[in-house]
Order: sequence, then structure tokens, then C-alpha cells
Amino acid sequence: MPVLLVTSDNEQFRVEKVVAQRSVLIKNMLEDVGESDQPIPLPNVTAPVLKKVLEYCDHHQTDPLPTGDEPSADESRKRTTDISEWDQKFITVDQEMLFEIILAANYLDIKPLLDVGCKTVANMIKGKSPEEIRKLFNIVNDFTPEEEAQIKKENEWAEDR
Amino acid sequence: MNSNARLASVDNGHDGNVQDESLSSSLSALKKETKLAQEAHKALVSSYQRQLLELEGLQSQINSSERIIELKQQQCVSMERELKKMASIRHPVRRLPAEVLQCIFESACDLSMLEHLKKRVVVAIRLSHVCRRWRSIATTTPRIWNVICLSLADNKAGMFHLWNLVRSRIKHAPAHIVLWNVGTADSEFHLATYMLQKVAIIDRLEIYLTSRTIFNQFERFPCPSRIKAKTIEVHPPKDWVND
Repeated sequence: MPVLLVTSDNEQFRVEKVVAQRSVLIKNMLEDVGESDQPIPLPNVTAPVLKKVLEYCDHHQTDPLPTGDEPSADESRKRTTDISEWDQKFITVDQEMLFEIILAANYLDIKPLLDVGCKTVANMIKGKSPEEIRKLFNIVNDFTPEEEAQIKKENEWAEDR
Repeated sequence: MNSNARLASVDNGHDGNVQDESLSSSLSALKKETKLAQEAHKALVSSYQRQLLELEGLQSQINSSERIIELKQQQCVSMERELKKMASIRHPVRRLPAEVLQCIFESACDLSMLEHLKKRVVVAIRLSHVCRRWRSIATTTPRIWNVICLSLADNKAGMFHLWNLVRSRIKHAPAHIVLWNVGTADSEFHLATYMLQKVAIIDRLEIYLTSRTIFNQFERFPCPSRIKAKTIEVHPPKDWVND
């Protein structure tokens, strides 16, 4: 039975239940409501973002759902270094969309998608200096002179090792 | 006076009159020229003064346009600053909840190769130097600080301060400590200065030895005194077969 999702900009998406249930939020909602053709409002997601998220859910509809058990340190490390080819291509979007996907994945509780988004941002950060990171994400350096002095010290310690 | 003398006198009188007339005419012409020159001079002075006034006016215009340019440049700088601030406010990175940023930080610090373990703390430090929000989140995310390489070959002041900083941020996260150059002169002393026994939980302790002799000692004494670690890995030197 298809599920009707309504975005914040009032667009409707009719999707297969198995696809929609990749989102733990929607899965729980459907379980709470039971069999119903009532539309599910998603006030924190716009249509273009939901379209992308559903593309991911559709592709991964047969993947086993995450159990919620914490992986071991080694498993976690292995997990964080891999992004599949399809996911890599899927997440190659502009910065605005990337962060919107991350926010939507967090809101809809789609852990594997959140993970892909986080890894992508992490890869953008790796090897960059704080100033380069600020430029990349339009972040303003808002440290006080006292904090700047402490930061300078920490930099010196990191270099003298 | 005889008639000849009278004639000469008449001639002289006639010449004098002619001379007077000629001088008078020259004087008159000279006066005219002087007057013309004076008028030309006056015109030049007046033109000079007019142009001087124009120049002063232009100079004043230049000064005022320079002031305007300076003002506009200042406005541009402040507007650029404002735009940057607005872009920063609007950027979706600001909307990421702390737990999502923590997840990103953990991924960014995920440098599992041994040679990268040394760099892991540097990445964590860089993340904590971006802005106040990132610093607050990074310094309270123990998992990005819990892997560190400590060299026992030398005891640089920077390493000691860095280790104290890291130790305060690891808190109760299970630590993965890599001891490097174990077995060099003074390595026991250097190890003591790190006070590893103060780390709440050492999940994994890796010990990289400098010689086979030291390795044999570690077979008998698997752990440096008073350090409690869940797992200890002792790595012999790479060329230990030939040692």
C-alpha cells in the first residue's frame, strides 16, 4: 500500500511503504497510526530535498535496516572509511543540498543516509586548516582575544611534537 | 650775426623740431605698446587667477571625491563583512545539531592507518579552532581525542602540554594509546611523565619497541607498571629478524 507524504511546501509524494519505512520516523508513525490513507506531514522537509531522500530510500529499499547496536571501534572505523560508488554519485550535490539532505536524514531518522552525508562533509574537512574550513562553510571566526591566545598556544604544542 | 650764421641756426631749429616730433611719435607708440602689454598682462593675470580658481575648485573636487571613494570603500568593507556574516548565518552548517556535527567530527578524525594516528590529534585540534561553537562541540566529543601516539624517544615540552590537553578532553572515553620508540634511553622516564595511570579507561595500548632485547623483556612483563589497559599489543621492531 502506498504512503502519502506532504512536504513543508505542500507538495505530495506517493511512495511505496517499503521505501517510506527506510525512515524510522515514518515507520514509527505508520505503526502508531496503523493502516490509514491519511497523508503524513513532513514540516521540516521541502519537496526538492524529499525527492532526493526518496531517491536514496528507493535505491536502498532492500538493505537490512540498522539494528541500533553500537558497532565495535574497529567496525566503526571500517564503516566510516567506505562510501559506495552509488552513494558517492548520489551525494555529489551542491553544499546547500548536501546539508539539507543531512538535516532531512537526521529529522527523518535515516541513519545510513545521515552517515553518508556526515562522511562526505568529513572528507571535505580532512586536511584543511581552520581558516580553510571557515572559508568552505562561511563560518565567522568569533573567538575572543583570550581564546585566540589559547588557540595560538595549542597550535604551538601541536607543532612541537 | 651774419646771414650764414642765421641760416645755420634756422636749420638747427628745424632739425630739432623734426627730432622732437619723431621722439614724441616714438614715445606715443611706446606708450601704446606699454598700454597694450599692460592690458595683455592684465588679461594674462586675470586668466591665471581664473584658472587658479578653477584649479582650486578642481582640487577641492578631487579632495571631496577622494573622501567619497574612501567612504564608499569603507562601506564596501563593512557591507562585505555584513554579507559574510549573513552568508554565515544562512549557511545550513549552522543548522546542524550538535550530535550531527559530532558525527562529522568523528568521521573527519577517522585516520585509522598507524602513520595517521599521529595526525589524528592535530585534526581534532584544527576542528576546535574553527569557531566557538565548533570548539565547544569538539572539546566535549571525547571520541575524537581518544587516540594518541606518544613518543618515548624525546620529551618535548609541546608534546607534554598537548598530552595534558588531550587527557583532559578524553574524559571517560576508552583511550587508544600508541607508545612509540619504547626502549630508547630515558624512555621509562618519559613514560612516567605522561602519567598514563591517570587515564580513566585505556581500551587499547600499543607498544612499539626499538629492539628485540626489549621485546623479550615485554614477554615477561607485558605491561608497564601501574598502567591498566584492556588490550595490550607489543610490536617488535620492523627489522627484528635481523636484530
